[in-house]
Amino acid sequence: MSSRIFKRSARAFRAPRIASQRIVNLDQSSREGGVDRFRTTRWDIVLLSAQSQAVGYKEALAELYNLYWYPLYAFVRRRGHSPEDAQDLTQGFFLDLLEHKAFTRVDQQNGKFRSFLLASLRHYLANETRSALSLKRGAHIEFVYLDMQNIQNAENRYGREEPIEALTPEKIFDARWAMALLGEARKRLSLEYSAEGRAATFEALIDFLDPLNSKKLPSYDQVADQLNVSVAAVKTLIHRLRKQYTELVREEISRTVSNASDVDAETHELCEALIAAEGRILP
Amino acid sequence: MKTDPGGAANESGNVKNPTGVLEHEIRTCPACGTKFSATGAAGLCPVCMLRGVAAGASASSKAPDTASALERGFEQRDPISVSRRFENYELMVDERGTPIQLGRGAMGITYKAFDVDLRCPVTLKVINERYVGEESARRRFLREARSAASLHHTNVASVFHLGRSGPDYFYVMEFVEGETLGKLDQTFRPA
Repeated sequence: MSSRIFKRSARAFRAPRIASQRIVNLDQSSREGGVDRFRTTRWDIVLLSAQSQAVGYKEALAELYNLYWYPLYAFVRRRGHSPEDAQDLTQGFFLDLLEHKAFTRVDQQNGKFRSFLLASLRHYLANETRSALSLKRGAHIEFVYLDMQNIQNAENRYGREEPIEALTPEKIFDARWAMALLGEARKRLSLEYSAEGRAATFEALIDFLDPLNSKKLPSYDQVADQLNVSVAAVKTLIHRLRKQYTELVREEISRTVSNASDVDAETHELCEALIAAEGRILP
Repeated sequence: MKTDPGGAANESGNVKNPTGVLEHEIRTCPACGTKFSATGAAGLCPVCMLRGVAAGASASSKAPDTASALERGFEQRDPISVSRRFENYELMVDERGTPIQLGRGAMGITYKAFDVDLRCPVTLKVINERYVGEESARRRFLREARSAASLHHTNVASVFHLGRSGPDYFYVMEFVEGETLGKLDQTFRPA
C-alpha cells in the first residue's frame, strides 16, 4: 500500500475546498428562506472549466470526486482487485483524470458525472498496468483525496455488503452512487440545521422524513413537548424539513448532470438500481 | 446484515456488534415495496426519498405553490390515497375504510376488489403510486400484464381484464381465497 501518498493525503484532503473559492468561482451558493446554503460544486461547471483548463478546476473536481469515490472503489474491488490494488487504482484513476484529456471526450450537452466517471474508470482499468501504477506512485502528486481512515472505512463497508451476483457491476455502482448522493443530502441537511443552532430540532424530526419506515416514530405531542412548541408548529417544522431535504436531494442530483432536464431521468435510473440491489448496499 | 440481538445499542438506538460496527438490517418499505438496508430504529427508504424528489418536482412544475407541491410528493406514499374505483371494479375496504391490500411489490400493488357487474371478488393490480405517470414503468407494467395473461395453469391466477385508469394501466385477475405462498412457506417450514 502506498502509505507515503496516504500520509500526505490526510493533510491535503480539505485543501481544495478553500483554494477553489479563491481561484475560480466554480461553486453555486444560494440563500433561500434566510438559510445560507452550503456551497456546492456543479459537474457541468467543472466540466466546462476542465475543458478550458481554467485555474481551479482540479480542486473543484476533487471536491465532487470526494463525494462519490466509494462507488468507484467498490467497482474496482468487484473487478477482482485486492484492497491494496483497489486503493492504488482508485487513487491512480483520479490522478489520471486530472492529468489526462478525458474531459475533452465528454459531450457537454449530455454529460452525467456518474456516467463519465464510470466510463473513464473502465477505460483506465483496461489500460492500467502494474508498472504504470508504480510510476504513478513516484510522480509528483499535487492533489490527493484519500486518507487512511477513509480507506479503512471503505474496506470495512465493502466487506459487510452482501454479494449481489445477479447484478452487473454497473448496476451496483449506480446503487452505491445513489446511496452516496442521499447520504450527502442528509449530511448537508444536518449541517444546515446545526449552522442555525437547531441541531436538536433536526434530531427530533429526522424520523418524520420517512415515517412509514421508522420503527419508533414519536407522536406530534411528544415532539412538541420536546421542542417546547405547539403541535401545529411541529407539523410546520416537519413540512419544512421535508421540503429542505427534497430540495437538497434534487440539488445533489442536479449538480451531477449537465442539463436540468436530465434530473428526472437520472432519478429514475438511480431508483431502478436501488430496487435491483434489494437492500444489499449499505447506507 | 441482520441486526444482532446481542449487540449493544448506542444512544440513538442503533445496534453495534462486538467489534463496534453498526449493524444493518434489510427492511421492505411498506410504501413502494423496495428492500433497503437500515440502521437501528430509523429507516429511510432510498427509493421513496428519491421518488419524493421526482414527484415533488413534477408536481411543482404544474403548481405555483412549490411547498405544497413538494409535500404532495411525500403524501403520494399514503396507501389510502389510491383511487377506489376502476371501471366496474371497486376496491374492497377493511373496517377502517382502508383498501385491502393482498400484496405489494416494487412495481405494483394488488388489492382485493369487487366486480360490481358480475358481483364477485377479484384481484386488481395497479401500478405502484410511486410510478404513476412514468412512461417506462407503464410499459413494464403492460408487459407484465400481457405475460401473465399468456399463462394458463390451474395453479396460476388467470388475468382476464386489462384496463386504464387515467394514463396508467391496471389489470384484473381471479381472486383465490387462501394464504400467500410466502406465508405458507413460513407456516410449514421445518424448525
